[in-house]
Amino acid sequence: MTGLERRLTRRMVFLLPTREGGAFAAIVVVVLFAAINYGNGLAYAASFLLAAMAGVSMIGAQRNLVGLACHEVESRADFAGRTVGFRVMLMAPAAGACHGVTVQVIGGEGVTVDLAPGEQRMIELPKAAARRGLVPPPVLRITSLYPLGLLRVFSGRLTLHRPAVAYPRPAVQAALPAGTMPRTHADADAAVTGGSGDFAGLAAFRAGESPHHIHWKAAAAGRGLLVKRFAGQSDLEIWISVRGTGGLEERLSRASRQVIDAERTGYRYGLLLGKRRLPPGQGAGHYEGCLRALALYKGRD
Amino acid sequence: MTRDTPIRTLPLPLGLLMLASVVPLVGHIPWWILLSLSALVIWRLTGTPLLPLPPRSVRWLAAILVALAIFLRFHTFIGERPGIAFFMMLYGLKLTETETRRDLMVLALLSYVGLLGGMLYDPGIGMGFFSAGFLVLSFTVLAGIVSPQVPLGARVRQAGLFFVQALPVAALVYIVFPRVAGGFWGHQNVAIGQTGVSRVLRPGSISDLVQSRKVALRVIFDGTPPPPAARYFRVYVLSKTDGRTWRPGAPFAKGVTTGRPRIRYTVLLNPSDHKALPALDWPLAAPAPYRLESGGVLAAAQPVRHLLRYRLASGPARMATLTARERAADLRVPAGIGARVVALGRRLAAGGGGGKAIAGRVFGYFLTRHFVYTLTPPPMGARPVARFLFTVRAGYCEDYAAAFAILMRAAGVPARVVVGYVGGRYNPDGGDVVVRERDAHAWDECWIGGRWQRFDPTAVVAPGAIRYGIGAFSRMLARGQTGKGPLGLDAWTRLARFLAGWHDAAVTGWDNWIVSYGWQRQERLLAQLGWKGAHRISLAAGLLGLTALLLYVVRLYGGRQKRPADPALALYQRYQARLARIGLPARGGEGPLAFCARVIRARPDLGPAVQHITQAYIGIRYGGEKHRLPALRRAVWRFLPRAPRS
Repeated sequence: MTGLERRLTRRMVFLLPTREGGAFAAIVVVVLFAAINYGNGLAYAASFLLAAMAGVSMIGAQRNLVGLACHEVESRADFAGRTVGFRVMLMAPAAGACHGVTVQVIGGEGVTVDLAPGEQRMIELPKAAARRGLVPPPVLRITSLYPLGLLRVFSGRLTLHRPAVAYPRPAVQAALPAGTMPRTHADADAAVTGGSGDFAGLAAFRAGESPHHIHWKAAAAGRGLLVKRFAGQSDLEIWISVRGTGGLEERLSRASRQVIDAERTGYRYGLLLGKRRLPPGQGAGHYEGCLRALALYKGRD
Repeated sequence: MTRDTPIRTLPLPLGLLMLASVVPLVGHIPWWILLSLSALVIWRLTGTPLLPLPPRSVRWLAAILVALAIFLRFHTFIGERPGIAFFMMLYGLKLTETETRRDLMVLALLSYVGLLGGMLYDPGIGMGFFSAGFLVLSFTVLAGIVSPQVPLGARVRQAGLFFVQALPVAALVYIVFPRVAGGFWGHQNVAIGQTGVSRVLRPGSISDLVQSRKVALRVIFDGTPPPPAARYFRVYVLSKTDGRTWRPGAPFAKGVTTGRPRIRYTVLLNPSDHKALPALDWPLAAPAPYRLESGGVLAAAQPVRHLLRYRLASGPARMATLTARERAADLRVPAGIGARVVALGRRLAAGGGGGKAIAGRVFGYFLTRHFVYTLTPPPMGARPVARFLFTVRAGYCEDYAAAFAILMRAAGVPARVVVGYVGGRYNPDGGDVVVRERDAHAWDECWIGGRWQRFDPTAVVAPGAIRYGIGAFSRMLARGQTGKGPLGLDAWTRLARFLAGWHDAAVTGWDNWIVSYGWQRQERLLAQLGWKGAHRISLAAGLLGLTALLLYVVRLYGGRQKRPADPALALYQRYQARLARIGLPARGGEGPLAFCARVIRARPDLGPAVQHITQAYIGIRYGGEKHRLPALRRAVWRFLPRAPRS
C-alpha cells in the first residue's frame, strides 16, 4: 500500500483570518472611523498601512507552506490500550525554512515544528488504540500561523493510507508451552544461540540475537560485542498456539503474552494460528510479524 | 495558539511597544494615568513580581476605582480625552491578568489605540515618523508572539519589509479612498491652535510674538515669490480706536482689485483658533466657503482648528469708494489722545500737498527726531501715542503704526492700522515661504487717490526690519548689530539654516499631503490625473476593484515556490517537476541516484538524458564541478519528457 506523498502547492493552500486577525481588522476599522470623523489624514494613512501590511504578510504566510512536502511513512504499532503512532515525514524546500508548521489530525491534536531549509523531520501523531486490529489512518491538515498570527494558512485534507496495527493486549500472565528439539541438525546448531540455563561461555555477537544476552560489561571494557551462551533449554524451540480455553480475544491475549516472554527470554518461537503457521524464529522482525499476525487474526482459518 | 504555561514575564519588545503607545499621549491625558501604566509595564517586564498577580475581585475593584478617578477628573466619560484616559487605565489593568499568549496578542493589538490618540492630538510630521516606527515595532511584536523562535533581528527585518511593501499600496488607497466632509458625530476640536495675531491691537500685542518660532503659515507661490519687502500678508484691518487699542471697524463697501502683477499662491495655514485667513495684499475674490470681510481681508466661517489650505490670487491695489460715514470713521481722532498730538498732526498738514506729502512729513518727523526701533519698548501708560511721540521716542511696529495713523487722521487723511505678517523666509528646498509668528507686523493704510495705500513707518525707521525680516532683524538688534552692511553668518548658522530649510520643506510637504488632504484636494488631484468629476461611489467601486486585484496578486505571488539560491538545485528541481508531470514524482528521502534508477526502470527511453542530468547534478552539487553548470542547464532545458500513450 503506497502512502500519502504530497508537495503543497498554491492550489492546496488556503488562508483564513484567525480570531486575532478579526480583532486586528476591528482595530483597523476603528482607526479608519476615527480618521473619517476627525478628518485626520495621518489616521487614514495609518489605517491603510496597517491593512496593507497585514495584506502583504499573506505572501509570507503562503510561502511558508508552499513547497513543503509531506510523505507518509510506516506507522508505529503498539498494544491495544496504548497509543499507536501515525508518522509523516515533513520536508522543507531547499530554498526556505518553514516556521511553526502544525500537523494536526482534523478535529484533534497537533504537533508543531520548525524546519530549516531542506530539513526533514519525522512527526508522529499518536492515537489511542482501544482494541486490537487495524487502526484506520487519520485525515491530516497542515496549518501555520506564521508570520503574525493574524492569518491561518492551511492545507487541504491530507488522507493517510497506511493503517496502524494494534497488537492484542497481552494477558498478565501465560506460561510458555513446552519446547521441542529442532528436527534437523542445522537447526540444532542455530538453536544453540538461545537458552537461559547455566552459563556456557561467550561468543561473538551476530545480528538478530537478543540484546538481553549481550555481555555489556565486556562491551564497556572495549572487548567488542560478546554474547553470553547458556546451556540447557537453549536448543529448544517452542510453538505458541491460539488454541485453548476461553474466548478468542482471551486466547489472543495469552498468545501475545507468550510471544513477548519468548522473545524476551531468547527462545526461538513459532506461531500456530489455525491452519497458518509462522516458522520458529527470533528477533525484532519475527517478533513484530507474530504480533501483527495475532492482531489481524480473524479466527477459524 | 494553545493555552500553554502561564507567562510570567512580559516579552521586552511588547513592553517597549506598550511604553511607546504612552509617549504620544504625554501632555494630553493626565500624567498619573500614563505613569501608572508605565509602572505596570515595567513591573511585568522584570518578571520577578514583587507582588503576585491579583485575584479577580481585586482587579474588578481596581477597574471601578479607575472609572471613579476618571469621572472625578473629567466629570464625564464622553469625548476623546476621558475616553482615551479610561482606555489607557484599563489597558494597564489588563497587564495584571496577562497569562497566555492570547493575552499578549490582545495587549499588542490594543496598543494601536494609544497611537490613534496620539495621531488625533498631533497629526504633524514628527508623529508621522513616530507612527511608522511604531507600526514596524508592533509587527515585530506580533511575529514574536506567534513564533518566538525566530530571532529578533530577523523579525525586525521582516516587519520592515512588510512596511516597505505596504507603502505603495497604502499610498494608492490613501489617494483614492473617498473622503467625507465633516465627521459622523460632533467632536470637540482635538488639534488646538495657538493664538497668533489678534483682532485687537494694543501696545505690546505684537512684540509679545517676537520670540515665537512657531510657523503661522506657509505660502507656495506659483512662479517666483515676490521679494520679502513686498510680502505683506493682511490679517485684520483696524479702524476703531480709543487712543490705546485698535479694533476692526464696521463692514465697508467692496471694491475691485486692480493692477498688475496678479500673484497666485497657495496658503497652508496652521490652526490659529481664529477665523481670519491671512492673504497677500488684496485678494481678487474669496474662494467658496470663505468671505471677504471689512477692509478686504479674508475670513472663514469657523475658527481654524485644523491645518487649512486655500488658493488665492491677489493684486496690488483695490479701487473702491469711501462713503461719507466711513470717511468720518477713518478720520476720527479719539478724544483722550491729547491736544499736543492733534496739534502736531495739524502742523504737519499745514505744509500743504496731498496725503503722500503729509505722510512724508510724518516719516521725516520720526527720522529727524531720532526715533528708535526697539523690541522692548518701555511701558506706554494710559496715553500711549502721546508718550511715544513726545517722551519715549522708541517703540515697536505697533507703536509706530498707531502713532502714524493718529497723526494722519489729525492731518485730515483717512487712515487705519493693518496687522498681519511681513516677509517670511523663502525656503529654496521646499519652494515655499515660511511665515512664523515672529514675522507678525502692524502697518498703516491711508486713503489717497481713491484707494487705500500702504504706508509702513517701520520700514522708514528701521529698514532692516523689513529687508531682513522682522524675526531676523530682531535677533540682529538683540546682538547689537545694525541693519547696515552684509549679514555675517558663521558656518554653524549656515548649517542650522540648511537643516531648518529641509525640515521646513518636509513639514510643508507633510501638511500638504497628509494633514490637509480632504475631499476638495482629492477632487482636484484626481482631476489633474485625468479623472474628472470622480464620484464617491465610483471611487469606492474603484477601491474595491483595486483591493480585489491586490489580493489576487498577493495570492499568486505568495503561491510561487521559493527559489533555491543554488542554481544547480533549481535546475534539478525543474527536472524533477517535469518528471512529476509525467507521473514519476520524486519520493521523500530518495537520493538522486535512486531516483535516476527508478526513472530508468520505468522509462528506459529517457535513460541517457536522465543519467546525464543526474551525473552533472551530482558532480556540481557534491563534486564542486562548477564548470558543468552550463551543460546541466542545457540538458534540463531540453529535457521535455512526454507521458507514454496508453
